[in-house]
Amino acid sequence: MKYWKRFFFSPFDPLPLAMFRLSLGWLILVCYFCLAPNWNAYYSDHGVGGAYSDTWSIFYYTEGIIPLNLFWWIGVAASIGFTVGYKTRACTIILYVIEVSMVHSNRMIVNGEDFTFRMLLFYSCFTDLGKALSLDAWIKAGKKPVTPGDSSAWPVAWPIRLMQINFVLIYVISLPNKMVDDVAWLNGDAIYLSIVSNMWSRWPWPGLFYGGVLSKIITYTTVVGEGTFPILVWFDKTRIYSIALLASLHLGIAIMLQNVTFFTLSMVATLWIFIPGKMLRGWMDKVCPQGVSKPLVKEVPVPENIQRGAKAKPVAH
Amino acid sequence: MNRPGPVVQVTDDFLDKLSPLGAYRWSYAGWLIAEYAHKSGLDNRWQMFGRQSRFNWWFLIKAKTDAGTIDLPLPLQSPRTFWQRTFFDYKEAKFHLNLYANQPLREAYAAYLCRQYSVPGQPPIRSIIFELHYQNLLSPADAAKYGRHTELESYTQVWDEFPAAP
Repeated sequence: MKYWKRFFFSPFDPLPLAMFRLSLGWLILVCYFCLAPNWNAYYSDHGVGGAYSDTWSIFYYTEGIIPLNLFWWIGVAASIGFTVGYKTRACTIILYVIEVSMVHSNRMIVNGEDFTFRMLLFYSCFTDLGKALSLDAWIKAGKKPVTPGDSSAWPVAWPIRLMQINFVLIYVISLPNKMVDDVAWLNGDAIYLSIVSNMWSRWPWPGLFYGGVLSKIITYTTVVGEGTFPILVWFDKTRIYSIALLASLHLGIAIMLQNVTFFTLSMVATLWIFIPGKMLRGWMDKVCPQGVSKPLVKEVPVPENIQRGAKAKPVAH
Repeated sequence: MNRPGPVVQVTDDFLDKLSPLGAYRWSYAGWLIAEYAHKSGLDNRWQMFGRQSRFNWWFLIKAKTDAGTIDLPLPLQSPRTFWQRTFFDYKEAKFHLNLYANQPLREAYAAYLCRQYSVPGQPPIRSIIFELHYQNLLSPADAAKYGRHTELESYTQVWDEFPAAP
């Protein structure tokens, strides 16, 4: 019970959440711009997928009342607000509602990133991602660029924990499916088949994968990375290595394969929520010695890992 | 929905062993969970390149008019700029993947294309043709041996011809 409470109900450092929000918001914004030329074709009732067959969508209920294009503009405004952290919670809810509507309006053009965005935004509705590196925090702190170091002001962990668990489950679920569905994941040909696919590959030198040696190395690395991440990410000593391996795999996919770029980058963006805030502060202080991540109030030394919820009493400067 | 086939089989077998009331309760609980997942958007099926194709394929979508048959200027079958290919067409591959497996979707798309490419003063579109082209992939060993990853022959099949709505 003690571990349960500590895991789900302790305060969660807002700095990793802020990095996650910045990455995800930017990605969603770019996605909206990429969708602009096809917005009506994809999501209208007379678009490429035919009439709406699923009614769980705001587009369905407002058809003929609110122009579909207005939702694009609302989505763009909300993703800008989400990214800069202005009225963060409201922007999160708006983005979630539009994302759900997009998925349900036309299932036939749904990509992996739509599912990931929807899942991440759903959990984000229950927390405040704007506690750090945001306009909301800046305004609240008297227009100073600060990250609250007072852990009593941090958001409670459970929505983030659920997001982490759901993210981990993606690998727990997809890996056995891969193994069962296609022998290429067992014999090491999976990456070769992706690289020579006219639909998915943008890699200009498929010849490097002929013979299958490189394919086997990357396929088995992928299997090991995806198979071990759900376990190793929970331990302090192995966490950063498993995150680094998974991020490398996804960035590799973004470089080598087309049409899955947003999905794979959304997975990389989510990895921020696994990085301990303490470590992130260390990195940020190296990059920006002026101290973007410096706390508002001085903390007493935080035992072990601050994400484990050890409540520190704030001491005023 | 995310369980591999053998796990689904085990669950179904378990369901068969339950009493009618027990089976009903189990199914009802499952339905409630599925409904919650559907409404909240947590009902995703995660495969992530679980199944790989052993052949390269593409649709060539044509419009038949009184003046002849033309290839429609659609994203995956016409010259595209780097920006279009990289950013704006990013959902087309998934859409074609769904078209491949879904005949009613091809029909709906054909109706959309008829509306979209009917231009006053031009010969009217009589029908939309879905032509599938495919080329088998070689194994990695054969690719190294021949210095290419596809067979030389490519094949073509006309899958559908949907008449335009009157």
